[in-house]
Amino acid sequence: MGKRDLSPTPRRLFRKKNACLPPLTLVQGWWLFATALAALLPLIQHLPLWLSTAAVTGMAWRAWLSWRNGRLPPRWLLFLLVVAACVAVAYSYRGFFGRNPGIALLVIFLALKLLELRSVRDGITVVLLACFLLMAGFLFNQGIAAALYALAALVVAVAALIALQAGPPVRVHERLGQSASLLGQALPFMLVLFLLFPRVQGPLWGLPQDAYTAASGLSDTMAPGSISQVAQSDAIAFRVQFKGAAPPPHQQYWRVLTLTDYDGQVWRHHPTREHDALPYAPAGPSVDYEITLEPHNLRGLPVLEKAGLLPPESSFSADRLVLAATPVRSRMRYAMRSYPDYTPPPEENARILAAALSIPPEVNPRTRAQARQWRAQSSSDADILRAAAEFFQSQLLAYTLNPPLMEKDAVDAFLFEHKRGFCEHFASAFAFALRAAGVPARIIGGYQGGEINPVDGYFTVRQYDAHVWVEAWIDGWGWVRVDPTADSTPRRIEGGLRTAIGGGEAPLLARQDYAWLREFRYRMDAVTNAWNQAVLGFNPQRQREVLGRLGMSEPDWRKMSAWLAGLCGALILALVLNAMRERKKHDATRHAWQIFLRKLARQGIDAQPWMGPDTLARRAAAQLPQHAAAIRAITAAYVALRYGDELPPELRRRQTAALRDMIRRFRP
Amino acid sequence: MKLPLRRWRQWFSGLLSPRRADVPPLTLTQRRVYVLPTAAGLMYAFTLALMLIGSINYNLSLGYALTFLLAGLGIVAIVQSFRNLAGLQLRPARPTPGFAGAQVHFGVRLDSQRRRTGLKLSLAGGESVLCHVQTQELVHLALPVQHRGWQAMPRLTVASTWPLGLIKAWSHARFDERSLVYPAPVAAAPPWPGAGGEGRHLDMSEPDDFFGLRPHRSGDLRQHVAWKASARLDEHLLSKQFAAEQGELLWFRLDLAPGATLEEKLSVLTRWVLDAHAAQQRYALRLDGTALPPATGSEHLHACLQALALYGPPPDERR
Repeated sequence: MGKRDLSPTPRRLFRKKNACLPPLTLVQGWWLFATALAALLPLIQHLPLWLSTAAVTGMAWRAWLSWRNGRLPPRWLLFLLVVAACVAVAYSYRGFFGRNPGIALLVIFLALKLLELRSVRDGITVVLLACFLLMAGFLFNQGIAAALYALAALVVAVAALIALQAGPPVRVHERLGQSASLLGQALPFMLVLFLLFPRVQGPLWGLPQDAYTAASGLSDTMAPGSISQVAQSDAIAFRVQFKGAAPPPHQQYWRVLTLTDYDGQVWRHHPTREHDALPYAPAGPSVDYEITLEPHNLRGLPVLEKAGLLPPESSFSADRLVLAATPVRSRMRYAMRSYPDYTPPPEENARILAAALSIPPEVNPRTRAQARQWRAQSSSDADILRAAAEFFQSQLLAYTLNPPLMEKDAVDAFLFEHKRGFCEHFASAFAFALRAAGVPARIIGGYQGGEINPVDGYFTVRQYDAHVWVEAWIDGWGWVRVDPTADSTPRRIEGGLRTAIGGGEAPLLARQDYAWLREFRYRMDAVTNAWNQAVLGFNPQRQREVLGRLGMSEPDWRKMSAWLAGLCGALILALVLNAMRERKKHDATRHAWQIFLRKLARQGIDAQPWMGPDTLARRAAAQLPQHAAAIRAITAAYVALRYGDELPPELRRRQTAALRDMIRRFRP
Repeated sequence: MKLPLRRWRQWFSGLLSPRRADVPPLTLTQRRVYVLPTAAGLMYAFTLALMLIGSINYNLSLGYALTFLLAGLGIVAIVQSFRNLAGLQLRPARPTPGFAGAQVHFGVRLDSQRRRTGLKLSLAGGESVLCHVQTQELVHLALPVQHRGWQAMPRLTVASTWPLGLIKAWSHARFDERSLVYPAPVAAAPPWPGAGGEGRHLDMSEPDDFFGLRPHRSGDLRQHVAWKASARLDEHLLSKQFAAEQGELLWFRLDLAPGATLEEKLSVLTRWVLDAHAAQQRYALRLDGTALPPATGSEHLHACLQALALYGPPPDERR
């Protein structure tokens, strides 16, 4: 038989694509719709309004078409829509490159693909796009709830994939059950791969600027007076695990960056030279701790004063910061040791001292005059420092999160007119005054304070703990930390933000009341922290640590791959063995017959292998004539059940029960 | 461009197909079931690769988790697709003969210990049928046929992409089974020989009118044994048959059928036989060396059709 004879379809110039593929049923369409909806929902809030509106409209259109059994829109219309949407994305995001335009394009493709569902192949495309978008959702939210949601959405997506296959129709919950069962079998593979797949630290290539939208209380510029309200976020900046007790509050100053350059309005960070080694050998009592830092898009790693250790891939700057090699864009963990009481030898680079003295001429004339007066009255820099501190206290400055705008001569306005401000105003004014008096000073940005989470014992520092203070250079003493905010309103430092300001002004969680809410928050934080540490923070370094703890000596990618292959092989073997095991059906008929045979055996009538039921019955009846009728009845019932025609299940059950009953009553 | 691909495919399927006929019942053991990713499966793998790159690039821990879960799902799909076929028992069932130019049906009985979904059975060059098996299922597969005679059962393929469509599992079976292909009946039948009176001359047959040969049965008269014909066969004796006692009956003979070639004549005879059967007439068929005495009924019809199908030299270089 030649195959050539069997092609009845004439050749066409333009063969209709997908003509040979089976069309989709209505039920399959709904499954795919549900999948797309589940994938789009978490993204809607992160898309521009026009795009989310368009996506929702497309979905609604599709749902309406399915509902009314309408025809899908023609291809040329969809083509026009794709072109229009791509132009809109390019215009809205100024190009196609980057994370957000990529997601926008995928959303558009998914919504339009739904309007073009014709074949199973289209359906598979929808499911794969949905999987990709589920992952894109993790770019915005990797919380526990987001993970659970994605898992549920995946169950729907896999159910849609199963529904695309030619199988007998089943109810919705059965379909979901099939999907969940398959995913359940895939779960061990996920765990093994997650643990053992050799991790690579990303990014693989330079990421576009929009990749990071860090919400940080810190930035490397500071313009006190130009903002009249501080955004107080209770987002977590970093968590600390102290080995031992936490240091007292007056030592809880977490240095992150320095602000040295001042142009009269804005303080800016000025990079200094970096070393790979500590410039001094610290001594004295040390504090050991481990920090889990949320990404803040800065290089400075928060450390307590007098850092005595360099984490991997970091360096020590001339202004005594610990800097990561690149801005921190993913959660990182590092061990640190600090020597709070150690005073490094007072030597300083002349350039750094010069930079710490420069102020623009003619700004803040009243403060300059005050500074000249201190200089005239004092014999040393230390005296000037003392005089400045006394002056700040005497001005009765008030701490507020809603200071008035002070745009011109901001320091003068703060010190002499409004006398209200927050840490940036205090630090800026103090540093300026010292510089005006000829004392080198710089502003340090970082965090102050934090609190112990009683649930898991982690010391938590939040964005509203962001703080700036001043370091002044005093000959013979070195750099001295001065916190003008604390000196003027000491409660800010000793009791934290909550006590420094009144109830209504502070963010909800920084308030003293609502104890139950704080308790709840502590618990949530502890769970989130555990999730962050174990799952989200599982980076190459952490992977090596965990594998080392599990007994793998010096884990590298070769060992991991070998273990991975071995464990996956074992899992597959287990899966295959389990799958191939034929489930032996419990055979009630045979079981009852066995009981009957045992009863006969007790009477000395042994069933030989060559005996059929009838032969056995004849012999038994001959030997036990008084039971002949019962034996014949039992045998007949057994033979009918076992070798007779297939019975409806209900009838079969009843007859089996009757057989069992007869055998029970059979007492020879 | 398509040609080398097809050739490669043929080579590949030849490599996988069994060379000898399988002995029924055939159980699809592990060694007989093959699995390969489908086009959708390759697309799936490609998507997973992209997701992995994305996870690495953005350090997305949950992205890794999702990618790994889907990768695990792919492995599960392989095992499940394999499981859907492995252990299935196949045996050929009685084929249904058909006419040349139409199709014959080959039967396949499937026995399974467990439920199997979405099995696609197909014959090489023939129809494919989708079925789900609970414990036992009987499937008939149509095969288009061109020429009368015996049609061997082509290679049977059982395939399934259940549950996810990412992996295709398949297995081949070649059963030593054949189906009869009757000659194609002509569409427009010329009148029966009886109708014109020409064929009816046999009707007023003498009692000793020789009609044909049939295997010897004990009780046949000795003088009816066809000694010469039997000597040629040397297996068993043949008896001469005589058309005698029939009343209203039709006699179909090769030389009575119009047509230029043997095939055309056979086609006409086939049409006559079918029409006579439909009209519930008694009819007899005599071909060289074979004779079927007058009778009615479907058994007789099939005997006649079989004789027509197998008459003489094969019309084509049949295998």
